[in-house]
Amino acid sequence: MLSDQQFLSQLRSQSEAAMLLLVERFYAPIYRYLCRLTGDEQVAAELTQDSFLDAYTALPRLADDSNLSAWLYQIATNRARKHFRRQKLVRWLRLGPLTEPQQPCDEERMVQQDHVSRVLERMPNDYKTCLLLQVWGGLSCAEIGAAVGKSEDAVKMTLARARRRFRELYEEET
Amino acid sequence: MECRSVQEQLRTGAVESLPPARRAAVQAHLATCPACRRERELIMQLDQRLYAAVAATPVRGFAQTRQLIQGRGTQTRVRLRRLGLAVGRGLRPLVASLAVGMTVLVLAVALATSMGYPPARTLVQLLVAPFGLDSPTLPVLPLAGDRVWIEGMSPESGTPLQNNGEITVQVGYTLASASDGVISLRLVGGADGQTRYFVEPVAVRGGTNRVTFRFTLDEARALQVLGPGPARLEVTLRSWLGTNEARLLTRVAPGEWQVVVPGR
Repeated sequence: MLSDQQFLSQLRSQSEAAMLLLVERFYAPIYRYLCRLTGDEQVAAELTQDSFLDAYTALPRLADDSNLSAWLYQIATNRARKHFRRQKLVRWLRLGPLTEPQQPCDEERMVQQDHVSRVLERMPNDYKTCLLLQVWGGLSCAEIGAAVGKSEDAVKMTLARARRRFRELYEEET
Repeated sequence: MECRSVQEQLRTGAVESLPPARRAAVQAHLATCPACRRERELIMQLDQRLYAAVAATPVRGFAQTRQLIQGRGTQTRVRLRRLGLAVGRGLRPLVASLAVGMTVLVLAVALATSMGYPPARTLVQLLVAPFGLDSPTLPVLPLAGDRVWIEGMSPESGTPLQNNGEITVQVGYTLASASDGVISLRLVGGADGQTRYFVEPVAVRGGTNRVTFRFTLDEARALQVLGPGPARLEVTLRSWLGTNEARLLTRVAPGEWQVVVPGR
């Protein structure tokens, strides 16, 4: 069993085994984040792959006290923002089959997930990014700020507005 | 603290990161305010629903990413991936456009060839058609291969054309395409240098060959149309590949034939 320090050290040396561990541990959360952010499974898969390749090349610069999760979410967010800039016009598409659960679940939960999907489609990009990074990624306001290029106070303001908007849209959907 | 301020703090989702005194104030307010507690529950409920929806997202593409990292030469594969050569999102539109373009081109050439038109010419036409150019106005391309030249004529150069006798002009040509071409012959002259006296054109087939024009110069008409003086003898080959010309300077009135431009 590797200690965190050993793991970071191996990552910095771009060890293949350590990189594979990183992918196995963080692929799913990063993919799900990007999937909800972009609303497109194919794009999310490609952005996730790109994010891990970005991470691979940035590994030698990884600091000792790095929060790997926040670092990867930051890379993924940068990738997503590049993607949005390239697209110029950001369109949030209905996720459709994405909301299908992998395991059987009750009808009420499926309806709720469908509502959430539709709300996310209608949310502004920066609101959605901050909210997903906090609720799904578990990032602090400072870490979100580093990922999206905002101050901590600006992130808090965005989060408050995002939650207000999320509730408005959710109530409209229901 | 006021409810509005507390609820705004709750919406940031970062009450725990507040300074201790401020966090204590928020917690004290929540303990005594049912409305703010209700607001906190609602926020938590919506956060949980958001989390659950994201967690339910099926994961795709893991195997490909793992494969990309796995094995020797990861750096090389990463570089290739960045260049769009491996999976290729970056080059995908370009590759798709090229594929569609090539398919259209191949179909167009196949269609044109089946109709007897030479591929090279058809491609040129396809390229210039949007600009309103058509075959007669197109320049002769170096790759076209069509050529025409004057090999000889009778009466020979230096013999005055004083009667209505037969004139023979021997024209050589190369017609690169398999389709038909037309060689026409005319005398151009007059006061403005543009008046034309035409001779019946001859149809030719592809390949390198020669054609002989035999005609009788209606001297009276030639003099009437062109007037006395120098006139150019022009031979023109028209085909799908364009227009080729060879010229000689001659004289309609008594005088001498004079070669100015050797046949090409």
